[in-house]
Amino acid sequence: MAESQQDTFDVLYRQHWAPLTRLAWLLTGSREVGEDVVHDAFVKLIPLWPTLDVPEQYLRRMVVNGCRDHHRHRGVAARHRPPAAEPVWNPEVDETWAAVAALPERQRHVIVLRYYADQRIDEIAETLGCPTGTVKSLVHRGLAHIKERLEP
Amino acid sequence: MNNDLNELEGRVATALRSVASTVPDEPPIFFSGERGVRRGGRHQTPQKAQRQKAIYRAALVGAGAIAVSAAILGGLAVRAPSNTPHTSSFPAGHGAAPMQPSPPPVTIHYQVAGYTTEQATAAAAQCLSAAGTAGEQGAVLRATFSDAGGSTLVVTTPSGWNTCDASADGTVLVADPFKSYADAQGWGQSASPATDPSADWLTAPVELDSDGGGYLSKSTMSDGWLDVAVGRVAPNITKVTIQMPGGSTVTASVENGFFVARQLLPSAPSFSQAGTVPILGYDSSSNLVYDSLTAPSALPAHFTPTWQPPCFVTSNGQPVSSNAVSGQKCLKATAWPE
Repeated sequence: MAESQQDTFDVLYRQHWAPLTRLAWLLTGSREVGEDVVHDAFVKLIPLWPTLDVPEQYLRRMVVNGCRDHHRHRGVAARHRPPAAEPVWNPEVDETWAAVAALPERQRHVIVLRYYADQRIDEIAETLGCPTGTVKSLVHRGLAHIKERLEP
Repeated sequence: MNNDLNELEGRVATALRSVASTVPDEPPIFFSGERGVRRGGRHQTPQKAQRQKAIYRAALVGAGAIAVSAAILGGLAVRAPSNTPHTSSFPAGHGAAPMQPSPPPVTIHYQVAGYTTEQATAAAAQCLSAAGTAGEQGAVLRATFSDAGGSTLVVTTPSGWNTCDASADGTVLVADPFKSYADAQGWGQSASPATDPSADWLTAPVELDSDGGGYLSKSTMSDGWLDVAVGRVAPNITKVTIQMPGGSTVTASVENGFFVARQLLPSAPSFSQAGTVPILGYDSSSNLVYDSLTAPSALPAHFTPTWQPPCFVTSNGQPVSSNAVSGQKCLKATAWPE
């Protein structure tokens, strides 16, 4: 990578590391895993860097895909996960985040993309490669599960 | 009904933003294309946190003749008795392809973090066993180093073996690959053909491991810059000192024919590896046996464009390799003790 390209790459890294890590954390339910996914995405971007017009979009797609890939290996890992999500700020946030984190992976993905990334239903469908009807259904079921868990 | 839904959606959105807001805006101190060192899980006892403060590393030292490719520079996943799962993959693409006419052996260096030496050793053993069952024979755990600076496992592998993540129990323990110093220091710098022409033969009493014939390094998320030098020694060598990037001289740990030296710096030193690494080897009587700067042909000329894979002969002149080019002067070598 030429020096000027690396400088630009560094700027991109500084600008997008935090937003992508936040998204990856919410998608995977683990900050550590989220950081890994984002790191891998930047590493994979390096050889493609000079050829991309909008690397931000590519990065985001790689991060979402990386989070989905992560769940393929989740079975064994889940049995040894730390006992709870990281404690946060107030009981309501903690409780809600715990409910989101406990969702099945596809439901959590659409909930995060919808209510954190502010993506429209059709954008989520494109991101996840599924029909819009499926996304609507997943959002509906995800909210229902969260509500069920939050109710006394 | 709609009000309830809107309230729930708002609560979810608020919670997600609150959780996400704990990620700092500032990225890790350095991004090298290498994975950083990680601590153990967040839910720890003080004792466990202290124990896991050390950095654990595993080094895979190539011993066969397989070309390095992107595919084999992935993550090593082994199993530990208990710990936080840690995913890993490292795509290749750093550095130019080696110039050798024959396939080089593979050298892969990995890092594990947040595990006790016992956990990492047990996990590596399980991993190697699983690899053998899967038909990937020949990978052997050679040595386990442990000191105040951390632990290093040395594994030799005859091929591109690099993964075994199909154990029935335990947590995924992932070891991340190291890269040669030149590669890690600057993306795209092509200074390190990953080759180990002396994988089965020592051409000097002390030899740095192949991956560029020099230092290995990583950025670390929280600790700065980690440098490692891994190599092999002849049986009579009991002490090795090596000058590390930045200029400090470190005494290596020596065990089972291997040595490992390491240093942790707050940031990457201004350093570009070139030429021979200053390294000294002593015997049990503290006699200087080997000085890399004065020893003739101490290391193959990895960095010259005319480099050819060296050939080897035994001490009585018997050829032990078939890759000699006509007229090429072969190196005198002794068998590496198994």
